[in-house]
Amino acid sequence: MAVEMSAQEEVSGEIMVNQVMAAQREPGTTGEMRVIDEESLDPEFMRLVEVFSGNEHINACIQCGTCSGSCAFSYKMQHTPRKLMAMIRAGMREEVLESDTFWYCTSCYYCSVRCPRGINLTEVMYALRHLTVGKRKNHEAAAFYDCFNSVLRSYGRLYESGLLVRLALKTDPMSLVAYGPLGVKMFLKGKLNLLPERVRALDDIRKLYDLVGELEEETV
Amino acid sequence: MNFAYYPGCSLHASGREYDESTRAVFEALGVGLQEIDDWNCCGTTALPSTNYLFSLLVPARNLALAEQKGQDVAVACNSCYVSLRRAKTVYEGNPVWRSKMEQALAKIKTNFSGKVQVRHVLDIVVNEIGLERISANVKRPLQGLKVVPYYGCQIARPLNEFAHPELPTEMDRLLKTLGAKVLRYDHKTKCCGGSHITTKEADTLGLNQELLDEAQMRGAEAIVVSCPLCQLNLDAYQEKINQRFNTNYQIPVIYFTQLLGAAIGVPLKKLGLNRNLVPAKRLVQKYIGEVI
Ligand code: SF4
Ligand code: SF4
Repeated sequence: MAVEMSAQEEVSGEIMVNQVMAAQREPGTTGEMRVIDEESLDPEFMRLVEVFSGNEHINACIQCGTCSGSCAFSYKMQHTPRKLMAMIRAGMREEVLESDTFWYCTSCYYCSVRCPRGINLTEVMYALRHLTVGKRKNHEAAAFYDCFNSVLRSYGRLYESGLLVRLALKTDPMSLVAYGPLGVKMFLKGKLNLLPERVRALDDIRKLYDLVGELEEETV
Repeated sequence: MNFAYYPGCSLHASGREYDESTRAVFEALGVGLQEIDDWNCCGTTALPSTNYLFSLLVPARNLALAEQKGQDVAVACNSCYVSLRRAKTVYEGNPVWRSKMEQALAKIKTNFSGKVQVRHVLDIVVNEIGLERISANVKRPLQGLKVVPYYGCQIARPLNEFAHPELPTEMDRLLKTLGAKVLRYDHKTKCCGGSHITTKEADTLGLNQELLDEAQMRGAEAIVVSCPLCQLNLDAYQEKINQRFNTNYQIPVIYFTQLLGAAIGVPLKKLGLNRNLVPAKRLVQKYIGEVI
């Protein structure tokens, strides 16, 4: 894996291609490389991720792997955070957005505080989730976040029982049964609200939601 | 000293004892907490996962409400703490998104200048009230109760405004001041998985098993926390962890405000100690003596 150790700040074309190829090796294989069709790369993708993650310099990544080494879920992810950064930089839009990497992120910010190049990877993970909106596949995590968003627009506050019901209806209704015993215990301890709390200025929150689409479009 | 208090949704539900004990402790120490009127959910990790700009506007509305009162914000939940500061940080540092935020907030007639400070209650206790004053207020010391302090992720990361991002000492020092025996805990800022418990339960139980494992190995009688998500995962799911990993943990998971309150003489019934799922009250009573 020598090719990914480059420490140059300016990423030359050759190194970039090497990284793409390194990113394509499957774990556990002995260095077979898949050649990537350049046509499939999206040169705008990195900038888009930068805009929605508040990062100014994803290119500054030196592929050191500190992020991957810090992440509790690296071992589960299809591509480790380091590898994902190389793929973003190369413009592998489809493959990045189809991966499960960012759905595993718990927003623990370990990678972000440790990255020697000051890249906020946690925001990159958020940005990638944001960029899948509209074409999310059967991801339970995505369904959870979407239900949360809709509960927030219904009440202005989180309503846990309502969230769990909406999520179950979207994914697996039986999951409610599994949650039952714990739910009862929580309820008995006064930790589960049967009725939602509602924000009075709910209209304001809905208005903000209606405004964002247009405002975001102007930005990209 | 007065703060605009942002409890957040968890403290009105699963983390109710954190809300109760925070209010009781601040009252006992003479620090004002005025709940922000008509506050809304901070959006936590869910909104940034669905919509970037919306995830900045939703917490910003809360900050604006506090600003109108001229008060800095006190927040107890680690996740709310990050969400509120995240909105403020982007507003301060990113001119492009700042102008979008301004345009949107203007449409709901909300002024936001970004000046308001967001403070975690642990920060306020240790750095504003101060350990000297706490020490002078200790009436029922914890007499060597063996604890590990568990901070979780989002209290000190990504911005280490008051605590070291990986090795914070604030809760350690506070608990020592209260008379507890604070044990080494290498997992103190490792992740509990947060809301992944709902969608990736097996993996998340694994993270929490590791946290409990070290606590047990160190001989802790309780894990002390500063976040309702950490508390929920470690406490409410402890039984599931035992079933899954064939373990036998029975470790109470207590908010630092509950122990602080107990030590400075707040009546135990005001600290919500009956609500912790792994029983916590008897343990606390054992160390501070039988009190009403
Ligand atoms: S830690 Fe930073 S520089 Fe190192 S591989 Fe990860 S993103 Fe790149
Ligand atoms: S913030 Fe996400 S990607 Fe980074 S270390 Fe934590 S879980 Fe992994």
